[in-house]
Amino acid sequence: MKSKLKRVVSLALVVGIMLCATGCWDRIEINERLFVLALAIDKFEPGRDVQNEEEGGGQHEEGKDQPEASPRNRMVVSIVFPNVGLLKKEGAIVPEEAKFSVSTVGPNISEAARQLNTRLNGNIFFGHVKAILVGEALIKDEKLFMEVLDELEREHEISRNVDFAAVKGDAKDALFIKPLVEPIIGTYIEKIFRQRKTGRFYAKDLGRIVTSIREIGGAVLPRLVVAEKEYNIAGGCLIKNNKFRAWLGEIETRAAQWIDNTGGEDVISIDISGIFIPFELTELKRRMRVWRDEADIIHLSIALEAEGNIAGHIIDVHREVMEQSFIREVETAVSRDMVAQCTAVMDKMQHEFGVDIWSIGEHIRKFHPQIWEDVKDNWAVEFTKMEVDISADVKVRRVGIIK
Amino acid sequence: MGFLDILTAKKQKGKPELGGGKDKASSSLDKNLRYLKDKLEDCDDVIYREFSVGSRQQFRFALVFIDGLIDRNMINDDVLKSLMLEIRYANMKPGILSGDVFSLALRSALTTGEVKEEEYIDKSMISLLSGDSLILIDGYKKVLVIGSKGWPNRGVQEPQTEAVIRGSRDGFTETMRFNTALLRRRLRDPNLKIKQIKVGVRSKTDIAIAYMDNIVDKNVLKEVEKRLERINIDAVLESGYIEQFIEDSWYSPFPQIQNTERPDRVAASLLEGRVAIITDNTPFVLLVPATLNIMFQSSEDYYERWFIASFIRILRYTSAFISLILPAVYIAITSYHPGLIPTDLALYIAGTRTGVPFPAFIEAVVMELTLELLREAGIRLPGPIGQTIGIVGGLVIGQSAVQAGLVSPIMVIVVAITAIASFAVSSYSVGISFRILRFFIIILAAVLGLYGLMLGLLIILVHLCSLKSFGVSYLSPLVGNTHYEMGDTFVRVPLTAMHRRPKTLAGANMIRIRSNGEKGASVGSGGQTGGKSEQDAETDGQGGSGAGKGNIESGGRQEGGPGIGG
Repeated sequence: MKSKLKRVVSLALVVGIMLCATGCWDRIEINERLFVLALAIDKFEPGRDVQNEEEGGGQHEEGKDQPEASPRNRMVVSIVFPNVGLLKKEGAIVPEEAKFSVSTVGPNISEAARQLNTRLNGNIFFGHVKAILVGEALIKDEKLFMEVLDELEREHEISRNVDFAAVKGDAKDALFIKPLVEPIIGTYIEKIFRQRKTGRFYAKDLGRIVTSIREIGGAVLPRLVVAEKEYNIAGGCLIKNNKFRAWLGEIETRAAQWIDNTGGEDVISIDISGIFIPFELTELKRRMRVWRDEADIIHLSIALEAEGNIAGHIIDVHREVMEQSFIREVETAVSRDMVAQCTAVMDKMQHEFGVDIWSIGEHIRKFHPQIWEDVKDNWAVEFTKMEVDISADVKVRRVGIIK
Repeated sequence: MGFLDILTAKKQKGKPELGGGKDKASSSLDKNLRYLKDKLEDCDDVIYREFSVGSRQQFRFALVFIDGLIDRNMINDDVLKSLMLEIRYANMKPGILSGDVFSLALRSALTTGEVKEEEYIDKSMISLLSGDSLILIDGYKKVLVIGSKGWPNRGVQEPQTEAVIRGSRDGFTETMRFNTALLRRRLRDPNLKIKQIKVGVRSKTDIAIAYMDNIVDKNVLKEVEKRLERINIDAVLESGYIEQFIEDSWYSPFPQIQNTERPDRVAASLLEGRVAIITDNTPFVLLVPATLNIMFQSSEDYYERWFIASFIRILRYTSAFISLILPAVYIAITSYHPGLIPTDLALYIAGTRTGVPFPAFIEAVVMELTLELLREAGIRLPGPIGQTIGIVGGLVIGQSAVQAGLVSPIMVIVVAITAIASFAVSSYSVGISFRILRFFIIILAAVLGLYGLMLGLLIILVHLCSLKSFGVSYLSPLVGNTHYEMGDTFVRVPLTAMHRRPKTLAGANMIRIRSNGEKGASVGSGGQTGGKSEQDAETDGQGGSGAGKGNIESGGRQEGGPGIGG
């Protein structure tokens, strides 16, 4: 009888300890969480506004002194979370506001988040962050930028595939505007990134950017420009040696993506006899070949295979769109245009910035280990010396509906 | 002896004393009558009718019966009239009526079907109490027991608990004899054995064990008989008594014995080698062994075409799973892991929950309990009022609770889906098991999140794996080397492909259908032989859906098998 009791007690102990040690003990009701949808991080520069004067900032505090310059005040962290009560119509605490934006200063993101928690009525939850924005000043500060990236990567709540963008100016501003088309800011940014009808920005997520910076010290972040009631995400921000190097234009970014084989749909307009003919790029394949000649020069050959439609011509047809010769002409023109754009951006990367944003080194390491053995220690230089040959094969597949 | 010991103690040992076989009948009518009147003192429903028989009225007879338990017309016409009147018209030599009046009455005078002699007066008293009539004759040491059972009966009606769209409409009734007849009507095979025993010291309830002699697993049969014999209880009022005495583990929430009101289901089960236990006074027949898979089957699965049946099977399993875990998943996700659901949904749930004063766990438990309450209240009330309860409970309370902000609308949806899902489980008792386990899993999920949910499911799975019903693993055929039987689990393969009986249940005669060209399926000893049975199956009225493809043995499977054998 006694041994039976002993056995029951010891079993209960084992099970109890197991449960206490391993269970999830962090219960927070879903309505007690503040779902942060976007996170903006800026470098703190004394004298600049932290509490935004924007009307959209529901949490604006009147007459509060701006934080002073202190070694602890290093960055400005802003978050935006939706007014979830609004989704149920009744029950919203502030019925007009679709979202609340708040920001604070602190030495790092974690502490800033804790400071925000002292001001807000719920638990900040990063599990649904849709976009992370970093300000221009922050990217230019190598040390602070690397700290921020590391913290973002370590935070288990933040997903690896959250969209990441560099903001021209202050990232904070992006969270305090009142967008015209989509009131909830994080979702708005995510939806811009998710659309597929343009290839003018590098849609790179946090995980890939951190990996890229870790591997080559450089990356291209999408560029976000804040306007009064909307954003524009286009072009890129080139990171070299862990910090800001240059802004890239939309067309450059597009060409860079063609080389990267990540290009989306877009339109290339070519001038044929005075008409700007829109060529809709629908399909793009890139083949990359690397070899070394006798003179030990590394050759990179990039062949683009593009397909697309002619989207417009002119009503008064003087040259039939259906004609073989005309189609050939368009194909050649588009091909010439694409090669020119690609060559320009390749040239810029090789000779002006010296950043291997396409991880060509990684490609060589994987597929040509012998070459890599010789160049791996000096890849940054070898990259600039590489002979590049770009060609494009364009096919017109459709010419649209005509009478 | 502690409480635990009482619970874990072995069930009663030894054979119960059912009485009888002690007191012999005397040759004196008066003495016998006195014995009966003495024992049945203050039993005013016993009727004693003394009368005289013989040309000179020289033989004293007494008829004893219980009022209401017997067929009065039969007693009047075939017993009293025969003995008192008609026996004189018979063309008999004078003096014959003065001979051995006992055997005369037995062989020549009583025009009833069922008469037997009984040596013991106490045994015949038990027959009397179960509806037989006794004839006592002065000067003879034996009692004539006349089978005269006949009492008001509900008649064969449609089963209430297992309604089907397609399938027979007759259900078992409270009279055991009718029930065995319903079985016989479906299985005209000498191998259908119906063994009768009595259980219950006071109730002396008739229990019949039915099985197919050349299909049943003899070990299971032996085990059933052994366990039934061991029952030592005063009265068996329903087959549930039997079930609780012979089940394998009392602590399991899962029923290990199937009960059914449908004769076609019992017939099909017998043909799979299972054993049916028919209890008097209840329309619920027990079927052993039972597996979880069997509990998810409905007799209709075999009547509908296999496509439909398979779809419904999958639906049923899914709904059981939903009814088990849905509220727990909701609690775990909203309270612990809101990162797991799409953002829009997370925001919506958060929005609908703003202002709800209780945590999701309390909300879920209150709502689930309310629902159980509604269900329980609805069952006990007569039809029209039951519907009112449903409307008041479901619509009014649900609607106003949401409007008042006491519960979130999503929780109402979750609870409603759970309820519907739990009713879609074909077996009522398994449905209840899942409902109870749902609370267990809700608590685990509320305390430990998804981790607790998985833990709970594992505990249930481990328990199911260890559970047995009469030596058959409860999870079979999902466990063990039984791939052939997988065709009758989540999906049901076409009947023409179900050639064999389930290995886990049947003990012999495994082949159910033989394809064309082979010799006709044998029916084992005592049955018709192959070729003939084939013909019978096609001409024998009940028709056969699988007749085109295979030969059907004479005891063709009713519910589960191809073709309906004659």
